[in-house]
Amino acid sequence: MKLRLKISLPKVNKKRIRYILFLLPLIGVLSYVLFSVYILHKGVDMLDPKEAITLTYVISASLAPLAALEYKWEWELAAMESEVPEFLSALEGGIRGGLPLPQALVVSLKYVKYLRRDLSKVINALWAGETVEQAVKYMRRDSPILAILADYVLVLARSGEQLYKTIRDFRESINSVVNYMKKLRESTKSFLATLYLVMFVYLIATAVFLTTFIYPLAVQSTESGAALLTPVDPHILTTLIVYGALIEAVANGATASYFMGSRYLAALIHSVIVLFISLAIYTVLVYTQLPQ
Amino acid sequence: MLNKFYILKDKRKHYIISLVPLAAGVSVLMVSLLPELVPNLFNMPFLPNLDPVIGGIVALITGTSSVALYMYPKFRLSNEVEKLRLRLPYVILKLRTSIMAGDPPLQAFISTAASVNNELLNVVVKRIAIGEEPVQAVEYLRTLIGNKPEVDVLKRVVQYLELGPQSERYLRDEFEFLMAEKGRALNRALENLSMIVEMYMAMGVFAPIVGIVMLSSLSMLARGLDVISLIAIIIFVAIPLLSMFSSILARRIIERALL
Repeated sequence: MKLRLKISLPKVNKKRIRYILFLLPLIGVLSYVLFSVYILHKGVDMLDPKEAITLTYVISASLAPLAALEYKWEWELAAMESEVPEFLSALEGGIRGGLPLPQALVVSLKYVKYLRRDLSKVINALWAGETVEQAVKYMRRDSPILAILADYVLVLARSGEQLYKTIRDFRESINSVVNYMKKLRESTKSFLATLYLVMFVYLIATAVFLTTFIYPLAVQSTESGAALLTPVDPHILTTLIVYGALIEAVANGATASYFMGSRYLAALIHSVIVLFISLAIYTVLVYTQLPQ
Repeated sequence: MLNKFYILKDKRKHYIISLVPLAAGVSVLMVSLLPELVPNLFNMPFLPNLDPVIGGIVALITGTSSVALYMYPKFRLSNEVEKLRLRLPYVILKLRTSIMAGDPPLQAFISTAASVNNELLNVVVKRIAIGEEPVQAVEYLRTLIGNKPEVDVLKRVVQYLELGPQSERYLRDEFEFLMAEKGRALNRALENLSMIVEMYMAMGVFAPIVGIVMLSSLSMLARGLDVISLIAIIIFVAIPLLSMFSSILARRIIERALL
């Protein structure tokens, strides 16, 4: 296997990226307001349904990068964690076959996909002459399993004659931890269905309510002057319902993420997707059904 | 040792300072009530003319602040205990691998405990560093935080360390025991989460929808009833608050099952 000797620094500062992406909706809204005021010369009426829909589109679009990245990071982490037992098995096989640690690491790379990037950096560093302590710094420590794997590579290097014994015991223990995390993820997946359910219930209930009740009543009362029922202002109610969809999406995304055991907003992508679907339907309603 | 949880790192000063907001609030309340209680006895124009309701609200807010300040060290401590419980399997696994690699058990324990960044483990490490026996150091921790199961696990772990290289066998059993405990905690957490999800769906989503529909219908029947502001409160205040409440509950529950 040909390995490049270029060692790039691996750390993407996720914390900083998160802060920047959290600010994107605010930047999006400010840009929209400035664009409307200074370029279009029309001002922003927050209670106008069309304006509310455009604003919600802007916020949803600016939330999308954060949602996508959180999902990608969580997914990658889960994939990397699930590869750890297989990697250790391959490593154990290599060591039992009489290979020295760096060679055994190279052989075990064939059995992993997501761990490969970090491990390749470690191997490159070892080949470039760095010590194991220095090389291990190239491994990610985003989760307890990955952190302990990085520590374990260090332990392996120092194990000497105890190498076989430690690797077997460690593999068995890490297996139980990985299986536990898998069970946790599988068991909490059903909570994601709740997110979709509540978002669709909100969308369908509000869309049906607006089209079959609020809009027709507003038209009838203006046409016939019927005074038995006082219609609610359909424009303001539509605006509030559109903002409500946005708030529901963000709140549900955050809540579902915590329900699924994620420390960050891994489920936000699902709510952003449903939010875009909701916005498309509200756009059709506002431009075709809403009485002027 | 846990003085850093207190304001000015002093228990007595912390409790005195935490009473200050309450004292200030009670003073404001008294000032607002004096003219009502003894209208003819006091004629003090320099006193501000305060509404007793505002005085009561100020007293309530400052009283709550005092209670929060008073309870703060207990919250911090409970948070650290929770963190220790979460990290124990990790601590034991790391400790075991270090011992298997040939590190002296006590040295392995100190380096592992230092890498976890937990105040309670730091207390134990500091006591060991000043020459105390590991078991005594854990017992000292017990005097600080009370009789918690985490202290029992820690005590067993440090007792195993005295067995030297043999300790890794016992640590393995301890690790398996903790993982079995985690498995049970996960089952319990899932049951509780299902209940919270139902509550969240009912209160955070269906109730606001029913509220919007009902309020709109009511406003059509009752002329002049302004429901837009009420609907705005539901959307902008009730939904985020209920979601936040559910998120906090979910987080508290699922954290017990996380590693």
